[in-house]
Amino acid sequence: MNVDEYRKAFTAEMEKQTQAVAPSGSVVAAARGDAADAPDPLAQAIATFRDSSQPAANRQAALRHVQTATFAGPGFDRYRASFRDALRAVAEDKNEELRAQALETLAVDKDEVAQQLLLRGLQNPAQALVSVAKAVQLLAHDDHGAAVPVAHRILKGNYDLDTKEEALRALAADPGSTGLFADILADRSQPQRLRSLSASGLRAVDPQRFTQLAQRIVADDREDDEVRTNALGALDHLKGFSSKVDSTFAAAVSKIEQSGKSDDLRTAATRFLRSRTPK
Amino acid sequence: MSVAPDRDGTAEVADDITALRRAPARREELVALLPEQSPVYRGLSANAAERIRGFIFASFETVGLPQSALPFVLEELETGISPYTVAAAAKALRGGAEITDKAFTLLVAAAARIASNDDTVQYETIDPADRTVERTSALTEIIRTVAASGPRPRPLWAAIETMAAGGNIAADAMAAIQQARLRLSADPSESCCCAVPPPLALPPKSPASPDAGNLVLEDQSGATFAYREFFYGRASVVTFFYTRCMNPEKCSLTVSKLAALQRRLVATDLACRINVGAFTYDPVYDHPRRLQTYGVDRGFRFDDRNRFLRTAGSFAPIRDKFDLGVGFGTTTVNWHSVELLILDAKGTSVREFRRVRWDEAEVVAAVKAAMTPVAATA
Repeated sequence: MNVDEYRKAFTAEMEKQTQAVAPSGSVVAAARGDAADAPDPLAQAIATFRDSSQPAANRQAALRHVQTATFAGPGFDRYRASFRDALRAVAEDKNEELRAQALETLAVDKDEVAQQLLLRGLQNPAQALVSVAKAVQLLAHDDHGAAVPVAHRILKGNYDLDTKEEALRALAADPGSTGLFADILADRSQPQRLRSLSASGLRAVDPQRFTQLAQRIVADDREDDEVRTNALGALDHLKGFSSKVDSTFAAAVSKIEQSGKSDDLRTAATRFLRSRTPK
Repeated sequence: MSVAPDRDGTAEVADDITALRRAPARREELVALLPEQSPVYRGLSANAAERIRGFIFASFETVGLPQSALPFVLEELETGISPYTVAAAAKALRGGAEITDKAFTLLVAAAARIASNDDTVQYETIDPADRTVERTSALTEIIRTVAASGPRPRPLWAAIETMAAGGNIAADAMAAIQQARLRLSADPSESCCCAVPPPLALPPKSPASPDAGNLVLEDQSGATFAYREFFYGRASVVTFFYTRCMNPEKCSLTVSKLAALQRRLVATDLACRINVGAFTYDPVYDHPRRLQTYGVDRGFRFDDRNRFLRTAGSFAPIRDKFDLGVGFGTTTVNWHSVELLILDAKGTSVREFRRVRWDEAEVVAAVKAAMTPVAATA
C-alpha cells in the first residue's frame, strides 16, 4: 500500500470511529467545511473542551474527538488556531487530567505559552501545574528551549530519583553535558539507573570518551553488574568499535563470559564475542 | 533553590520597544535590534528570540517601515514558519510606503504556508499568554496586508483564491479574504498609497573582517586543517547551517540548494577551480558524522574541494569574520539568517547573498565574475 492509499484508508477509519463519538455529523466532513449549514460539530467540540463548566467526561470526549480530527490534515486547518487557543486556556484548568493533556499536546508542539507555564511552576511550586519530573520532560521536547539549564539545576539539587532520571533524559543530546555524563557514569555511589542513562548520553555526545570509560567499567569486577551489562551492550552497538577492540579488553570480556556474576552480563559478553568472531 | 532559569530579559526589551513605538523618529533604533547577533537575543530560547523579533516587526506598522528594515521583513516572509513572526512581518509591510510585487508575492506565499499552521496572535503586549488583549489569527493578519496592498493582477493572488475555494479557512480569515478580493480587483486608479515614503536609511556598517587564517577547522571526514589551507589559493562558495535547525525553509533547504549549485558548477568548468563549503553554526553538536549524513541525505557530494566544516573551538571567529546573522541561546542557535558568500582566493568575502533565498544560476554567474581577476593574475 502506498502512502496515499494508506492515508485514505486511515482517514476513512478515523471518520468511522469519530462518528461514534461525535454529537452529530462527520468530523472529517465538518473539517472540510462540507456541512456549511449544519452546526459545526468540531467547533462545538473545541468549545466543549474549553468550557470548564462542562462535566469532565464530556470535555475528555470532546478532546478525543478534536484530536482525531487533527489527522484530517488540511481539513483541520481552519480549526488549528482556535484549538491551540483552547489548549492554552485548558493548560491552567482545575481538572488535573485535562490540564496535563493540554500541556502535553502543546509541549510536543514546542508551544511557548506551555513552556512559560511550566517554568513558572518550577520557579514557584505553589503555581506548579505538573510535577517537576513531568515539567522537565515536557520542556525537553524543545531542544532550543530552557530544558538544559533546568535539567542541570535538578541534577545538582536535592530531587528524587525519578526527577533526576527525567533530567538526564532531557540532556540526552546535549554536547555541553559530556562532563556531567562522564562524572555520573564513573561514580559508583550514583544509582544504577542514573549511571545507565549517563552511559547512553555519553555514547551519543562523545563516543570516544564513552568508549574509554565503558571499557574500564566493563573490565572492573567491583562494578555494578547491570551497569557493566549496559555498558557492554552499548559498546557492542557502537559504530566502528569492533575494529578497535584490543586484546586486553577482549580477554576481559572472555573472562566475564566464563565467570561473570549475573546471567545478563555473561549473555552480553557472549553476544559481544560472537559478533566479533569471523564467520 | 528554583530550577527555572532567571528572567530572560524579554520584559525589559519589550519596554524599550513599546517606548520606541511611541517615537517614530527613533525607528532606526528598532532596526538596530533586528540582527540576530544583537546582544538582546544572547542566551534566549528560540521561542523568546522569536517573540522579540515579532514584537519589533509589528512595531513598524505604527512607526513606519524604513528601507533598512525591509530585508529582514522580506526574509521572514520568505523563510519564516512561525505564525507569530510571519504575521508580524506582514503587519510591518503596512507601515511602508508601498508594497512591491516582489513583496506581494512573498506575502501570498506566506499566507499559503501559514494557513496549515495557523495560530492566534496579538502584538499589543509581548506576553504570549496575555489574555487581556484581543487576538486575531496569523492568517487573518497576513490577508489584511494582502488587502492593503492595493489592486494587483489576478495571477499574483491566485493562491489566495485557491485557498478560499478549498474551504479550509476559519471564519475571520475568510472575511479578510472577501475584503481582499474587493480591494485587489479594484480599478488601480481607485487605490491610493497614502503613506509618506520613509527616509532611506543606510544599512549598518559591517565590522572589520578579522583574520582567520590559522583557525583550525574539521571537515565531515574528521580531517583537521587550518582555514588558510582550505580557503587560500582558490575562490570558494560558502554557506551556513546547523543540523538541529527546526525550520525546513532554512538549513535543510540551504544544503539541498547547495547540492543543486554543486551540480550546476560541475556542468561548467568552474567545479575543479573552486571550493564549495558549508559551515555549521553548532560545531559542538555537529560532529563529523552528523555533517556527513546531513550532506549526503540532501545530495551533496564530498571530496577535497567540497566539504562541510566545523570550527575546532568556538564558532565566534567565523561569525565575526563574516558578520553572520546568527544568535545563540543556552544550548544552541536561537535564530539565524540565510546567507551565502563568495570568497576570493584569500578567503575574504567578495560577494554576498544575505537574507534571500539565493538563485543557483545567479550564484554561478557571481562565481564566474569573482574568478575573473584570479584567472588574470594566475
